[in-house]
Amino acid sequence: MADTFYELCNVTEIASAEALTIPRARALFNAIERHRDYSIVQLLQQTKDGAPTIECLIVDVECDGVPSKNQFGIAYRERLALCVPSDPKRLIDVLALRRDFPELMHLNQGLPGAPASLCLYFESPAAVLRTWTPPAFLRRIQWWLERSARGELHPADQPVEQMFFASQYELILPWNYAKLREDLSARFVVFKGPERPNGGFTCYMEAVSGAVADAKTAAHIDLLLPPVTHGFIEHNPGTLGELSDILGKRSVDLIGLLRDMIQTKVDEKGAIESPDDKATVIVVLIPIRRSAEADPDGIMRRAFFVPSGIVEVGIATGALFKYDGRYFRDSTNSEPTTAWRDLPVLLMDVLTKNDGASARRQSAVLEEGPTGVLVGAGSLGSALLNLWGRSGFGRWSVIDDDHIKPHNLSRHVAFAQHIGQAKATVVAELHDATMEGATRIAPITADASDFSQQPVAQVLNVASLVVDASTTLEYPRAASANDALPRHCSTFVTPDGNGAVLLMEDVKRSQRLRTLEAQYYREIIQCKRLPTTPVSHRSDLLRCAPVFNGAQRWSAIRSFGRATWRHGRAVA
Amino acid sequence: MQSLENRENAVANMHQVIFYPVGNGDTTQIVLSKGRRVLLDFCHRGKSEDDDTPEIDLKKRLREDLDAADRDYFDVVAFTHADLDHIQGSTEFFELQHAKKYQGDGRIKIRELWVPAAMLLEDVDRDSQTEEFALLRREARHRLLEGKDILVFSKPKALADWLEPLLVARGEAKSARDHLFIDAGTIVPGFSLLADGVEFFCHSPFIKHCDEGDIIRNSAALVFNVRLDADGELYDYLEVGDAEYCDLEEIVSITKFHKNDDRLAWDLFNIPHHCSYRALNDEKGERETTPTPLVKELLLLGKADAYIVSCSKPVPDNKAAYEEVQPPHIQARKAYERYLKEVGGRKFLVTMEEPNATKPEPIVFEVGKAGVTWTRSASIGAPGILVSRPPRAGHGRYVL
Repeated sequence: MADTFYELCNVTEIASAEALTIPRARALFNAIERHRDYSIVQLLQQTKDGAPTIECLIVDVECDGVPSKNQFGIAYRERLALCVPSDPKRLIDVLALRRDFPELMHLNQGLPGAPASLCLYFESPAAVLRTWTPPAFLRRIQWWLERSARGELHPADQPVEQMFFASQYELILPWNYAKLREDLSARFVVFKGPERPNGGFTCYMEAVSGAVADAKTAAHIDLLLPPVTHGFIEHNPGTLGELSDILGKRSVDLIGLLRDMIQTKVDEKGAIESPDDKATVIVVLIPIRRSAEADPDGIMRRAFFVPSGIVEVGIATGALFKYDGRYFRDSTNSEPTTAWRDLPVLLMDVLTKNDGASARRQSAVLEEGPTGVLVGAGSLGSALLNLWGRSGFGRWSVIDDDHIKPHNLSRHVAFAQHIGQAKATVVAELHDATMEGATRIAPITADASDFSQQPVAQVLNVASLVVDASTTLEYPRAASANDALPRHCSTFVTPDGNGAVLLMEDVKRSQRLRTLEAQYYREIIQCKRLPTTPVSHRSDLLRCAPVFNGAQRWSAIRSFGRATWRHGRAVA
Repeated sequence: MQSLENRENAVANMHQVIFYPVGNGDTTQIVLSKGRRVLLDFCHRGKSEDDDTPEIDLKKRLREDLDAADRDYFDVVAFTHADLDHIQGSTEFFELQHAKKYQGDGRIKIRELWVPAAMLLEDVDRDSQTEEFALLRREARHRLLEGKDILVFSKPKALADWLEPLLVARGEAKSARDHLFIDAGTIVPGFSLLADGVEFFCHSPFIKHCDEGDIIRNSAALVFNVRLDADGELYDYLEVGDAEYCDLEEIVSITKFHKNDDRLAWDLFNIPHHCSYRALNDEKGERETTPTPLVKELLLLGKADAYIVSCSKPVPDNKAAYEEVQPPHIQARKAYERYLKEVGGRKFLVTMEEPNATKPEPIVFEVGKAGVTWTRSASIGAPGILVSRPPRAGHGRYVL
């Protein structure tokens, strides 16, 4: 019986509860004594420089909710070590001491051959400790065991477990990485960004052509692994050897794949060690599925930064050998070296820049939005395009014949460097700077009322919606008279800056903007609730509306924009 | 989602066995996974309707259960014997077919009534006859004569003597009700492992209990091995009326003689007689009762992870308890706990102790494929214990 449980190391036994010094440990001991399902087996202590750092309560716990023949292998009676750290800000570690305790999800990263640690909480330690009490803690442990025994600990709609934990180091991929990858001649470089105060850094992967100058770059290897079924979270590997072991447990031969990749990169002429080639990034694509029979649910991308060049790695893994100052494929090496095991690796988070679809997902925008034309890239128009563009809503062309003046900057999204440039172009450039080509806004510098002009006529022809943010009367009235135009809506902010107005035509355009404009005036005159300041003919007055609360503006415009599209659909 | 389906299936194939805290009395409900419900005994004490008393307001609780399931009937109500603490309040709660005044008005219907033969025969003098028992006897006799909605366990001669002339008078054959009599050692018709996930094996009563003349209520009581099938896995629940040790000994030896030993094993054991020492031996013992050999055999037939339930008042371990004359007896509890531990069983539970003695709640067991579990009624801890949703970016989808 003795060797069915793990023994903790670096601890000494305490004779009785009086010797417990950490307050939480004492409180926990008292709670355990009062709890009918728990019994104390042993008390242990770890000290450093005479002061206790951890006090462990070894307990046996019985859980009546654990089915006796559960397929997950949890027993009715389990032996646990409750390790109370002296630091009150840290959570108490719960270790399962039974040697054949099953491997489950919701176990914290553990080292092989050591007791597994139960991951009891979903929230951060700070959030948990705010309401933590010993009896609730004891019940939580039972809850964990009972739920795990029924396989209910992982709600079905929770995302599939990540295979590794989050890291301080990031690799940013371009939004069209998958597409770029298809071109076999494409060359990627990885630039390393500056270190942050906490020591992390971000790398950027870019597709390049031709030589790249001085920036520190890394070679890059891409590996697609066979699907893994989500299981418990692995610990962060510190060396290539550990990474290979982790993947090996999932039936993946990392080193074999690495060797093959390196060998395909090196042709008969061999390779030379280049001063640029000082780092290797291994990108690992892991399809993850919920169970062995299911299809993969998602793809995990992980990257590992090896601060050694591809040549160095090639030699260490036995993929290359050195001859006459050059490095050649070594396909005869039947005796694989193990030098590679000690190469250090840094785990990196892999993030992808937004494309339209991911922008929409992040913004809870379900529809792609219209092919639209925005008339007017002034303060309001630029704000609309900023929000719609960033959230992936719609495919826009924008028409404005004006340019940026200094006073615009109090509300327009443009920057000082844009003074003097056409507003439409500025707005399109700013969008490009955000999306890097994933989506585009087409600028047209022209008078939108002139429907016969070519670029104007063209975009109006294909659009399904025209949003007039010109804050003039000329455009909406002109558009009302033209039967060939698509559906219109007109928006503006009220002169006192406290409201936004939307005039929306129906799909058939049976009531046009000029009619709605008249209805709006009638509303103002008749309805006491609306601002009584009459709308001025003078568009410049409208444009110089008083400055108002930025938050109001954003929320007004944002919901305004959404309402434009959705409201239109409801009416239709 | 695959695991969601598994969970739904798992819940769907779960049977429940519920023990109600009715003081020193019995009421157990079996809720089968497909919905059929069997109630064993009924004990509603008038004072339980008062919030101050620990006994549960049984009528209210059962009504709530049935309402939630949109039912106004039990498939079976079985009275193991006619002691008051097994029938009390039943004639006000249930619909009785034999007279209109016991019908309607929200009364719960009994689709099939199971009674031991003794209940139809007992001739108690007017003083000791309780109103409850008299009504139930009348009901049982009525149903038997009408030939429907009843099963009678064992057919002693005295009962046959009473029944046959009445049948002849109705113009029916003497054997016309034979199909409604169930003998010990057989499986009760109407339920099957395949169709319902349960079968009831009758251990008792034996004919000789009644034919010997004076009917000793407890000996002639119903004893079942209730076998539950959860997705192919079988679990045994031993339901004993108020039997004494000698009755248990007889059951054990007869069952072994007929090579039905498996019918003595148990995952759940509703121990007889409210934890009385008399179910183990005729001597209480000072600290612990020693069971007679055959009873000990029965106790050792408990399977690993089994539970024992004592439908009784609390059984504390203090000086006064050892001197108690009426059951429950702490000495008996000690004996049960010893043997439970020996077979690797889980816990000895007392209906009036869980979760506490002030306001006990029903003890609910769930019998599923992976085993018998006791689901605690109190959800301990704040909502923080519930699974919290992880933060999401966007409309309920995670960002890769």
